[in-house]
Amino acid sequence: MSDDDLRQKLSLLLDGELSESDSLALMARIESDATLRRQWHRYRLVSEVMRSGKVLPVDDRFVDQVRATIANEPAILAPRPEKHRYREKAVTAALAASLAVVAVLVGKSVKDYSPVPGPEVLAQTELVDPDEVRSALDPQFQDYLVTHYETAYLAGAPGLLPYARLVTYDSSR
Amino acid sequence: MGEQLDEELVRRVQRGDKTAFDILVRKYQYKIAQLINRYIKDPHEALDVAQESFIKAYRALPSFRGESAFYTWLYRIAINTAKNHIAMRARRPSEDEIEIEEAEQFESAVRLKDQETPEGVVLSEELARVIQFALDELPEELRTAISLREFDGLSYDEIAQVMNCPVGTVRSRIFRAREAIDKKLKVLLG
Repeated sequence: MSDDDLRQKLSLLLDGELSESDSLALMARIESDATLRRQWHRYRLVSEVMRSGKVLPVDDRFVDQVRATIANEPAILAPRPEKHRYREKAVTAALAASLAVVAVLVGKSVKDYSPVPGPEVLAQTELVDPDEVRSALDPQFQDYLVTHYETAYLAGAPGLLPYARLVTYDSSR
Repeated sequence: MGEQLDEELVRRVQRGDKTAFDILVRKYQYKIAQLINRYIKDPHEALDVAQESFIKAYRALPSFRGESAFYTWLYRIAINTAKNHIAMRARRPSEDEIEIEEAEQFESAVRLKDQETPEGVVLSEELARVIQFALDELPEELRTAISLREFDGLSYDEIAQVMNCPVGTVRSRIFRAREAIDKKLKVLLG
């Protein structure tokens, strides 16, 4: 490749118009070729001045100093392999799908719920109104029970429920 | 230079290839330096902070997952580094060895430091003058091609449409324009 071709590629690299493989090869070459590096710097300088009207000149010392500092840094740990990331994504997707199914089922059961028991109900407890029970008792029998409760204990004959209070009957008096 | 290229370089650095990071530094050193120079006007200080930004980026690369473009990530690191630098500088007046009598003037001293430095202004102005002179001397088709690229940020395809010519011609015109400007610049830079 002639110098002219090389510089033209440099121009394309600056504009992002070079293929990825050619860009990588040329950038690696810039690192090892001082003449090419100077050319690259001048191209960048012109580009920056044209775009912003002013520039902070950066030379080779910039990269050298960063390189010298990170030379003493520990080697970078590689990130987790791609396949683990795919597995993570698959697990996340499976969880999301499971939650969606549960949500649909719960939603359906709520929608289908009806307070009226269907024919499949096998047993049902009948609720009895306490007022009905109270009115069904003979008033004389109620008086007898209350009197018995109040006097049986004093007569030394404990009733059936000596410590219980017959609140229901008492309140109905 | 697209994001795919950066992704490949980042992968190489994450596998322990430090030379790939040199390439990333060289690729973005101008952009990051200009960016920081907007916050820190002193050129030497701005370059120090720019270097610090790259070093921080290198240390943080193991946690970089590529959820954003590398440059976007680097840009955020650079902005934070510049802001932290300014905040630390403001908290440490004693480092500038200010006398008690001068303490009242410290605020204005800091502000003065943020102004454009004369050498930076002169160099920028001189470069801009030489580049404008070189542009004026270019044949019209070269001047239009490089202007559409640098001033307007058009891609080669877009320039080809605007100039009604093949993309290959655009490549050649932009390169020839750069070569002509470079010839003038080499004289200035020595």
